[in-house]
Amino acid sequence: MSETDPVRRNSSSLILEIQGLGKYFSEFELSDVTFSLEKGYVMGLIGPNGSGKTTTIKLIMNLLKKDRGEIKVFGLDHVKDEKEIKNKIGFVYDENHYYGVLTIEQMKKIVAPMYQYWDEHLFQKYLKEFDLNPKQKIDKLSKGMKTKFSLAMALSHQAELIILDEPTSGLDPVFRNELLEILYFLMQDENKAILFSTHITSDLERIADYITFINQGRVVFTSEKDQVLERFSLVKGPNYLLDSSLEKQFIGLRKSSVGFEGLTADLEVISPAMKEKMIVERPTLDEIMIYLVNRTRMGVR
Amino acid sequence: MWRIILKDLMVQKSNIFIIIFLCISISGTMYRSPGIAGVQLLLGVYFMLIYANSYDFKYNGEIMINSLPINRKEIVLAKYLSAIVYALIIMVIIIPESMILYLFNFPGLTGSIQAIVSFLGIVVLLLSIYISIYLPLYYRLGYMRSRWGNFISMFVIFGLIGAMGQLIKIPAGELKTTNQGLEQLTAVLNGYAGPVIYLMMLVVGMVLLVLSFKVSVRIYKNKDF
Repeated sequence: MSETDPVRRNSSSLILEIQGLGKYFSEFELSDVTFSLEKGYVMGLIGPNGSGKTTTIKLIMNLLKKDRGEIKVFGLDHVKDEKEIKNKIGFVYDENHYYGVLTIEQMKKIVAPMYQYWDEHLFQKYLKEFDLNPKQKIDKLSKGMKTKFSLAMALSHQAELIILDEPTSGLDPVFRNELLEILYFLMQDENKAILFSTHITSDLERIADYITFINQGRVVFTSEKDQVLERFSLVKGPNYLLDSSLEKQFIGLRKSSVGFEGLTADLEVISPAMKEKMIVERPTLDEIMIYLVNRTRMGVR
Repeated sequence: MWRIILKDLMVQKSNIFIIIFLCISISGTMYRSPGIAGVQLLLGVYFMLIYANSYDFKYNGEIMINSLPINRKEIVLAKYLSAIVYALIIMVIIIPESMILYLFNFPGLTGSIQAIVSFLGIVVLLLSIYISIYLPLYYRLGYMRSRWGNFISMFVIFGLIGAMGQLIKIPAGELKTTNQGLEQLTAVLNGYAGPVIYLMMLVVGMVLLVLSFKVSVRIYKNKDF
């Protein structure tokens, strides 16, 4: 199932290149992670909780020290040229790491001068758009408002790579929709790229161009989103159709008294006669993820 | 880097007011009792460092700081400079206040400018020893686990002051205070050694801080968040 990026890309337009990345912990291992992201595109990093998404992002941000592999951001080494790279990265993490005892204005006064290209006008525009009061203490903001504040900080210094680590977890659908609209608008600028990690894959179906699926510390696939959705099929049918040869064609299978449902990447193998008795649907990213995760849990790679 | 120092001051704004209040409330301690002022200075820096680090711990702020365009060496340097800034803030409060009280010949005040210089020399050395021990421990063990190390290093420094006073057993002369150790040591150095020894103390303090800084940078550069 494992495959590397099938798209041959022009290296000058690559914003992020990760090659053979590895990090070892006592109870978890991130192994041989390889993917890349071009200017003007959104990459969705998906996988269940604890699969290695945050570890990958922390390695890119040099918050964790890699044990193996190479990370290049804007064609530069992510450790040697850390300061230059981080000037052009906007980040939003799943939790607020800004100092809650400070007000929005105070926090901005500390952070803004560190960026070479801070755009105060743009920051004020986002505060208004997000309905954020600069005199408000960060601790007093709701989770959604904290994420909006992080987003305002991330988008106000002409960042070319926006890294979002589970920004929508724990947020209501209205805010999630709002965030996606902002990102969609942001991508009108073709010099920017977004790396968006989430386990809420429906968020990505709207905006992602590429999907990298990580499970148990390994890349299962990295591919164009449409190719992923086209490659897999969700098949439903009555139980009497199932025999051992058909079962082998499925990545995962769920049986109930009313019938079966299974995910396959080999729809052509199933005979047309059989297909007529089945319902074949295009799966969602969520369904693909669930079936692939369950397959790995059963010990099949 | 200065923004990180500013952040450490801003997050503990309410605590700084408490420390300023304490400094002002113990009026004229520098002249009446350099020992108390020394303890005040050491404890002030101790608390301000702990408070600043506790906010980094509470918000996991190092993840945010390390995601900004600033390298790890600068972050560590900012922490060392913060400690020096805390000491200066407390000195700026204590010294002028004491001098004003001295000029107005406040009843009960004793001491001399030379006594203050002697006292400062020793306190600066002790402060350097304290910071040099605590900060590498903090970077190595993290906030929670380093708290005991911090407490113990402060305890050892006060113990050293007491022990030195007992060993020297020379009357403190013009300096009368409850902290005999520090003042007896001050009196000895003041009377017999002159400015050379204070310069040496300053140099030793600086060397310790530089060595400690290098150790902290080495630890911090390899740290995972």
